[in-house]
Amino acid sequence: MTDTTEELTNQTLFSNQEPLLQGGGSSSNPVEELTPEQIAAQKKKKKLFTLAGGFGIVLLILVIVLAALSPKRQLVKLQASPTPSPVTQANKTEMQARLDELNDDLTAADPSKLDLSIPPVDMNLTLDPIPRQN
Amino acid sequence: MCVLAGGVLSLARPALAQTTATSTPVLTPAPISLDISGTSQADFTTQLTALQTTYRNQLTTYRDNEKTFQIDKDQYYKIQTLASLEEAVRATRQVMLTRADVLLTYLTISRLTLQNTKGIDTAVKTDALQQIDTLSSDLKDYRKTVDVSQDRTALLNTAIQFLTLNSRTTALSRRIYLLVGYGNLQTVDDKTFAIKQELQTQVEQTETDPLVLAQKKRGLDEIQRNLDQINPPLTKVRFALDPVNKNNSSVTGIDFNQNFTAIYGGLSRSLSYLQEIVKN
Repeated sequence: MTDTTEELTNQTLFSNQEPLLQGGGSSSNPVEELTPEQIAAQKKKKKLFTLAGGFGIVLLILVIVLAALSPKRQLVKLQASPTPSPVTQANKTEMQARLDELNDDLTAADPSKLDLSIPPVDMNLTLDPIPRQN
Repeated sequence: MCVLAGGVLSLARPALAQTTATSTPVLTPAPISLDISGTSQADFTTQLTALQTTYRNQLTTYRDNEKTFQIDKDQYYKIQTLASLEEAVRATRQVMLTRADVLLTYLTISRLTLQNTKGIDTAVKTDALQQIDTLSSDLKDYRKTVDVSQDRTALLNTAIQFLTLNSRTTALSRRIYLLVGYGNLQTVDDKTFAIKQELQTQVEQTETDPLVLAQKKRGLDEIQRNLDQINPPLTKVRFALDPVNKNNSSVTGIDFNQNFTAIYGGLSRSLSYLQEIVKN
């Protein structure tokens, strides 16, 4: 128990043993013993995991987006102004018609377009000059 | 004063009347009745269109006769012969007759228009219509006198007689123009106010959005402010056109055109605001 503790805490001992651990460890690594078929199989697995992970993330995003959108729709429905009643629409149309009529009246009332000027005739027609009155 | 009553205005086309002394046809208005009360808008438009056609035809005839008159008159003063004098007298008589026709049709058009113009006080309108009737009657008498005038002295007398008719026609023409102009504007002012009041009630009852309601109310207040600004010139014109006030010194220098422009501008602005409120 004491030795183990010393090994964990004594940095000098750890440094001395480091090359020994590196040298000894290389021959006993199980990865180096994997066949090319096994490596290929592992790569396939990794790819599958990556694809599955990607798909999962996309799915998650979709779910989040849908979840975020659905309450908004409800909110819009709640906030939407009530559909104008047919009576209101009819009033608006009738009012617009009256305004159009008023516009016609106003155009007709333009004083500059009023054609009631005196006829363009010579009001002083005479064969002989009119004698001046004293 | 001539009293013309009964029936509906029936002048549709000019009638060709024979003069008593010569065979020259003269365009004269067909027998007319000036009692047009109760005519519908469609009747009014039909009658007005017919009268305007008559007026244009008579004016064309007058212009031709005026040219002939000028030529014959110049010819007479140049060559001084009895034959040229006869021609000049005939041409003078003819142009005087067609001028009377033009003026009579013009007065009929003016009467019809004034009768159908709303927004004028009844007493003021009646007074103006009576003036038109009196002048029309006097013009007809004048025309009859011209029709029987065969020499230069008689025609000179008709020319002297026409001097007063000329000044009366000019003054009455101006008065009719002002009355019709005022009546039209007053009618539009009344209608604008009525629509504004109705729209106000409608907005207060139906508008649910408080922001929009406040905005529309501000717009309606602005229209009311506009209409309030139109009131003084309208009152001023109405006062000036009332025959009761014709000797009042305050109405002598009134600029009618300036007042009309101010009223028309205000009404145009109010209508534009109303349309904006209704569309939003």
